[in-house]
Amino acid sequence: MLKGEIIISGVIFGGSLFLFFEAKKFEGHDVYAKLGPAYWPELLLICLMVLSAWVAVDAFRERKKAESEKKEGATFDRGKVRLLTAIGFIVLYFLLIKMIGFITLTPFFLIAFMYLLGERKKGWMIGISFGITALIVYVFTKAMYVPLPRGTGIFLTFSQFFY
Amino acid sequence: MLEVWLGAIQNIFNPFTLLIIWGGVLLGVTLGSVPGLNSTMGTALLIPFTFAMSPINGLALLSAVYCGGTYGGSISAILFNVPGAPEASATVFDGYEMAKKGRAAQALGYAVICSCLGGIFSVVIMTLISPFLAKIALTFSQPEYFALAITALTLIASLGGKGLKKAMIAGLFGLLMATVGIDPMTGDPRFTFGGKALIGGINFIPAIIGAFAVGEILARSESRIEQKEVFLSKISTKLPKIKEIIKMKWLVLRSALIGTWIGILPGVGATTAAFVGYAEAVRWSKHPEKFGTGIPEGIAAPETANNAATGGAMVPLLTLGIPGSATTAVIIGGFLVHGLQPGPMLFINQPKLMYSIFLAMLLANTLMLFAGLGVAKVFSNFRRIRYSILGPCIFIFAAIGSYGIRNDPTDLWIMFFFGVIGYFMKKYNYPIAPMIIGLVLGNLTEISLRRGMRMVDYDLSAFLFRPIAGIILIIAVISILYSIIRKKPKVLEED
Amino acid sequence: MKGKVIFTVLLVSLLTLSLAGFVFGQAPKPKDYPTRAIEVVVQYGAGGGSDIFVRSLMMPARSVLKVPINVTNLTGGAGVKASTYVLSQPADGYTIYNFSPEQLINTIFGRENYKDFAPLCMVQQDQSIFYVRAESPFKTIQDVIKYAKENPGKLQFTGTTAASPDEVIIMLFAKKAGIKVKYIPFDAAPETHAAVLGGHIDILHEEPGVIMSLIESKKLRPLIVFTEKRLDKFPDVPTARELGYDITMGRWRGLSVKKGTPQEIINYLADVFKKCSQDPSYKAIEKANLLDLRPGWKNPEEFGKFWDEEYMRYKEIFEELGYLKKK
Repeated sequence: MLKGEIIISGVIFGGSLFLFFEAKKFEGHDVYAKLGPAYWPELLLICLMVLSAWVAVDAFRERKKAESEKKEGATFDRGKVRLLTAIGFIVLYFLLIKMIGFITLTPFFLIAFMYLLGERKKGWMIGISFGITALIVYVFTKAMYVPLPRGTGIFLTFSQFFY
Repeated sequence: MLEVWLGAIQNIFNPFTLLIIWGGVLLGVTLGSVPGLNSTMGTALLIPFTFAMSPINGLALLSAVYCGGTYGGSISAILFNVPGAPEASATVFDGYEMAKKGRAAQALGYAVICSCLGGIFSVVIMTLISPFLAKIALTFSQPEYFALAITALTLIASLGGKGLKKAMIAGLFGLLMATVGIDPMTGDPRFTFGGKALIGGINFIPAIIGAFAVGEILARSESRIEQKEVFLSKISTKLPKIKEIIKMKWLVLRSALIGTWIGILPGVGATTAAFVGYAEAVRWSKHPEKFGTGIPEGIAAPETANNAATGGAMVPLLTLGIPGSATTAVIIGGFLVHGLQPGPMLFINQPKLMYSIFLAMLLANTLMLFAGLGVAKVFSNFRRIRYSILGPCIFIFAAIGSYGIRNDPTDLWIMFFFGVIGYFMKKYNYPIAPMIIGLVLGNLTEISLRRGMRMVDYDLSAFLFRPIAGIILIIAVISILYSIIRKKPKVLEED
Repeated sequence: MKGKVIFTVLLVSLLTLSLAGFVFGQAPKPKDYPTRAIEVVVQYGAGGGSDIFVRSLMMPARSVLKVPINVTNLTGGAGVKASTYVLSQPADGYTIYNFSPEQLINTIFGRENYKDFAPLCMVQQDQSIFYVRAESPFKTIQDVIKYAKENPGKLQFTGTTAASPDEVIIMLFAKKAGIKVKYIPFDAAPETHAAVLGGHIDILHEEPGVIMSLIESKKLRPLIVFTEKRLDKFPDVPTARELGYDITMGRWRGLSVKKGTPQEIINYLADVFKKCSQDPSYKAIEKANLLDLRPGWKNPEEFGKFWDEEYMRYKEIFEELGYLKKK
């Protein structure tokens, strides 16, 4: 845990440093000479760097103390696989939704996700997935005019059949 | 005066108007409870239809939707960890935790009772001293807004406990995320990396939904064991007792006052009110470390404050024509379709209409109680559904909720990004609440500082040495020092 | 899930009840266009001036076009988000965009290109007016100029958002009057009204419609109008032109589609919207907002030419203000 602690602090520090240089590039106008667009972010980033370094030092000290007590093993257990699969599903869903459209993609995504979480009852999975999708499409596009992604090509034609 | 009231009663207490108010409350609660839909959208869509009604019926309908919607957001916040409306963002902190313990009905009960109390309180205040309050609200300038924001931000320190540094990192990160997008003071893009995706900034709704709901879904898919626990734990449909509400009378009163006042201020609304209400509840509490673990106070404070802000927001609208919130800005449209212009003239020329609106809001807040308690009984059963089914459905609602705010696909990725961040934050004991507080209040803090400083030609003493701003800031500083000095028995951690 | 279903059914039935006959159930026109729902994109939030404009114009349009018209608000990034969305849709006339001066300004700052859109029609032009609060020591605009000359850089003006048409007109006025002023932008118009009423800022730039009640109750006093001739509503308020500053500007509102949309669709839509802008329901709202004081109608060709003129005008002003120079 402490190793992770230090890595996280390092990431925060590095990220802040990167963004700090990014903030240096913000344009300023003569009209807003003082307290320009970069002022506040830079202030925040400096505080972030100081605090993350502090947390890392703390963790480093504690780690020295705790080193002998327990060892941390980066186990690649089934939980991690499931977590990564879940992340993969979400990324895939968001990537594909523009192409395939909400109405076509969502039921399959839901079924896959339910399976991943350990659901095995087919009737429930299919019923709920299609039911929820239909409900959302109806309420959002027909009643409230929220434009859900329609997809492209053949999927667009299919989506336009409904909304 | 009496005559005006009698006229108002005549206007409101007829079957059709009562039916409209009841329908408006139900519609508002529904819209609020569905992530991605909210009362602002609802009122915007209804305005063309109010054209066909009498002005009183039309405006009664809009105000009823507004009141109901502000409460409705808490339903999905409590049940699914997804705030159904921005106003309910702070309710997520304790509401969901309470529901997780099998006490969803109680959590929903607290939410609706406190919403109702807050709403009624603010309407009464509005009825009695509207013009006076509006006048005082106008004396608030940028330094006062800054002081207000800073005071709420100091909550981060009181929330931190032993992990103060981590809480501050989380808070700073939230503040930093709030700067993404076009700088409101100069129009320059910040942290957009030359692209168009981030130019609209990071909306706090997808971020909250991501950090809480998606973070939890990810954690659950890793463990997968917990689902049994939900099955086994007893689901109680018991509602809170009156005694328990009375115990919180000072907290409710304080939140109602805060909510009403923040509602009155133009530019800040129910969402800010909820966070400040929550912050003050933590500050004055005898056991601040318990906040975030699912305690009634953590639901009562934001829910009272956000509904109190609905009445508050109507004050500047009716007396000056200045809307105090996004939804009241839309309600102006409801006046305009009837050729009415909200503002001082309307108050003088049509007092009966004004008092009819007050009465309609009073009624809407009362009816909300009945609608809400029914909802609490029925909806608490949601927790009986096993997580393998519920989880993916929550995810879809989370995605729709994020997308629906601005209809922008970028918000899906923002939600995902914050989901991953939320997962790591939980794992490494970084509290999530400070990040959300930073994100929600970031823009107000930064811009009120920069705008205010520009107004006084960057003279810091002119900015700080103002009676109201100064007092608020002094309180904030004292409370920071106090929370650092005070030893805490336990570390407060999210989840 | 039962509770949710019941609730949604309730919601849907409530909405369909009120929507029926308005949106649904009408046969499409026997023409190639339009055959399905049209989407109108507004880059500002629900309830603002532009949103009310679009929604009130679309009310009569629904019955003329005989298809559903959905108004969607895509806010953020000074309209860049909404522009990007419109450009991502096919150029088939089913996506209409509320085109505003911000698109021209964004082009100047390199955030988008207004040439990606094809003009449809301009419907209205608003009037810019400067106001002070009732208690203000400034009685006329000459008082303001005199004070500003004695105290350069002290006088504070406010308007909505940075680098906006509001800022352009204020700065243009300052330049022509030979004074130095401060511009303090707020995110939303109501905040500017409150700041001026509270006495925190000296002068407000605003269109008269939204603050009519404040003007009538004498809480705000108009000082100068930027129109060709004096407004009947405020006969005592001089125009900028009378005082020797030739500025006639004001926020305009119109519609556009993506470039590449067939010309016949553009002409047809422009025709339809012209009819709609004469409709009594739209006229009533226009009148209530004082938008009928200035002729605003422009056909596609005129509107396109107007874009180019406005673009050049804005660009010139921003260059002079030092906005385009990098630090």
